[in-house]
Amino acid sequence: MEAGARRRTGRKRAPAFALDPEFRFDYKDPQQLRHFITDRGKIVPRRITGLTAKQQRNLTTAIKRARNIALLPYTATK
Amino acid sequence: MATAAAAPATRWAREYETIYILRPDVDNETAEKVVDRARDVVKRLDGTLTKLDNWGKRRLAYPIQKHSRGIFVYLKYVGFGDLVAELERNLRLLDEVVRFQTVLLREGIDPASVAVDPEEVQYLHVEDEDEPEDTETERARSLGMIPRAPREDHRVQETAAVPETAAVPETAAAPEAAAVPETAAAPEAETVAAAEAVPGTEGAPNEAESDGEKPEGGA
Repeated sequence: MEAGARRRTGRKRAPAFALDPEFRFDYKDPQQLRHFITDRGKIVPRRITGLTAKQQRNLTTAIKRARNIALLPYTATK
Repeated sequence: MATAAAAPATRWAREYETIYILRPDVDNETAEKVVDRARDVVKRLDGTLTKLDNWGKRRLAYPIQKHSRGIFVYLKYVGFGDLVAELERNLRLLDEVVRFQTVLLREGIDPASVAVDPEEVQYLHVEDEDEPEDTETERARSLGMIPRAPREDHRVQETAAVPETAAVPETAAAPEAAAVPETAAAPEAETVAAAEAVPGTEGAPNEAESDGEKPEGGA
């Protein structure tokens, strides 16, 4: 595993704006949240987003709120 | 968060924000009526409206009551829990409001310290600026006519392969042919006949038959 045998797909690096410890996701900003959902509308897992656990929880809440108020889709067809 | 240390006389308020969505076909007067009602409720229950924003007609991420657009209105206010309940009750009663959501922003606010900028609480009418061309491209994209811009990251592989389809016709054909002549039951009651065939014919059920009857009985 250690010797570079692991396949790396996607990325594990938080976007620059998420490095600020005071940063919070805002459910009213769907454009930003769209970076963290797939084409299908699913929430991208943490191993790909590279966010901290706290940020990912915050993100999940924000996406779910945005979905409820129709700013983001629950599902999307390709 | 200093609630415990505070003097008991002060009733600590909370700051909330509510977004509600109106049907896209409501006119400006009706939209204003809804806002006035919300204002009334906030005032009646000792709340303070601190911000009011009309986001205008926006595309919904999914259709609500067959509408693909809606007028979004944003309210921010300081008040107590009963205010939220009353406001939401009022929004629920209005047919024009198709969706609303309230979120708690801050707790432990002294209601007396809330300052309101009158500019912020004016309801402004927003003209329709969305062009119909946008909907056409969006529709074409949803139908798969225009490929979406490839996104190199955050890709989740969707395995859309359906292996079950190959198995279904085989199992559907086999048990009927085997079970019906043995029990001599009416061919209309296929599921009943298949279920009765198992205890009734002790010697008969071989591997292929019992395999086929499980999905038949379940369906």
